[in-house]
Amino acid sequence: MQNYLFHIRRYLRLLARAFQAKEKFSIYWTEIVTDLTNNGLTSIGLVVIISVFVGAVLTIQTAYQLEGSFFPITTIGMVVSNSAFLEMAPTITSLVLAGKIGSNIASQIGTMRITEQIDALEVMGINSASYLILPKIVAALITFPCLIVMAAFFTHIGGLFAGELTGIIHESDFLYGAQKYFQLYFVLFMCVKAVAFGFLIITVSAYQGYHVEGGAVNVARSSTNAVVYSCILILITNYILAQIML
Amino acid sequence: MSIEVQDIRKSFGDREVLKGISFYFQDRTVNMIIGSSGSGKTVLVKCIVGLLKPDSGRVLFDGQSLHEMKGQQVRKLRQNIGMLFQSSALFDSKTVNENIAFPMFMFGNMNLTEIQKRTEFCLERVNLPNAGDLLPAALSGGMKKRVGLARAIALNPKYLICDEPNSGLDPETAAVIDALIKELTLEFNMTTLVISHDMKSVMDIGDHILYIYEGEKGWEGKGKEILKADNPILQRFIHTTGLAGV
Repeated sequence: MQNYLFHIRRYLRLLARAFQAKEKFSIYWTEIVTDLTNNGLTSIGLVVIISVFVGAVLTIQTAYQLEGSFFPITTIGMVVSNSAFLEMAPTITSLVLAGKIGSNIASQIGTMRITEQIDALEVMGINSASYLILPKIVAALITFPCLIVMAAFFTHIGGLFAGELTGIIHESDFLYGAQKYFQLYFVLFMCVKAVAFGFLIITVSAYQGYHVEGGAVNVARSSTNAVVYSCILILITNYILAQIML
Repeated sequence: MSIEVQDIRKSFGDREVLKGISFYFQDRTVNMIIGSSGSGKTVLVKCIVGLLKPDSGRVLFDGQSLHEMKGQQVRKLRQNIGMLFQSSALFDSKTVNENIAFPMFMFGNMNLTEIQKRTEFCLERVNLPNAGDLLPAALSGGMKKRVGLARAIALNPKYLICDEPNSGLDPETAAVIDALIKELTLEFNMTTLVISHDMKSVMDIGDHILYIYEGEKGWEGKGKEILKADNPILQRFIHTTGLAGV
């Protein structure tokens, strides 16, 4: 327990330092643009592939469960659409991004720590926490909602195409079901999740990397921890947000 | 431009690494800190630059205590400290030019042309005029140290601190780095601190020497006086390292 409290205290202290930005805005802007590219643009392909297949599987599985029931065929569109907004797009995408972006950030910052690059920043008088972490947070707050909205869109596309290809549901029925039960609040809920999960992934991974001690083995361990703790915290936060907002 | 440490103590857990070291680092000279591995040299330097906070004692820069300075004062002071790290600590995602220009972008009031000119000057000063576009991964150990030195002098610092500048270098390259440190110290009127294991460089460039033994000051004196030092532990250290034959 004491160990957890120690980490929570140290995590909060690191966050407090990260938000004490003292450098010129232009410096942060360059880093934000780099992170938008590294963490955002390079993840688009992965997000599209995962979302299309998640949508396709959702359609097939929902159809299988509804087989022989009294529910209209348009229910498939509704289930796929609402699942995409409420759970699949924000949670599945964030879990995958925790693996891609989280491990990347932890190993990048961890390597900077063990090769004394963070010490070099500090000796120069630069707030290393702010310089390294704040741009990543800002970039994540932009990229995560965009990626997750994109994920929701492609989950629909995947579901729609799978329905058409297998002959389970016609495109118009799918879209009718999706539109009839659409609630704008679900999109808002999805965006709140996107921001929360993005923040968690970046800060937890940065924390793991920032406090690495020793050598390459510990960088690898921090990278693994970043993914594991990010995933656990995403799932816990997911539950809390569902409890509060639904 | 002097640095003085007064009764510095630092422990890690139960292990007392520095046991009350006091020393006055002479300005405009090369001050060598020597001692066997684990004697506390690097910890002392980290306390001096503020990367570690001593448990007790004071570090004075021009009579001003580092640990009593306010945030902005520390930032300003650190801009006057150039540091060459043991691993060179070059930012591996930036080119040589970007590495050298980095502190100027962060703190200097120079425009782009002035920064470019200063970067070229620093590179020429360390005899690497054509390496500007290379990434650190493409540099040899000796070149990395020279780029590290170029970055350290970019802001025209008052203090130059070098942590084992010769580690991992062949004797010829080590001599080049030593000569460079000495020349830069005189040229820029800096107070230089050098941690070294290389006893040849102690004799070649050391104006004042601090010998640390198990966290305590074992001996202090000027350059070649070390050979006549009346300290059996130091004499054993000198003979083991072959310094007596230099």
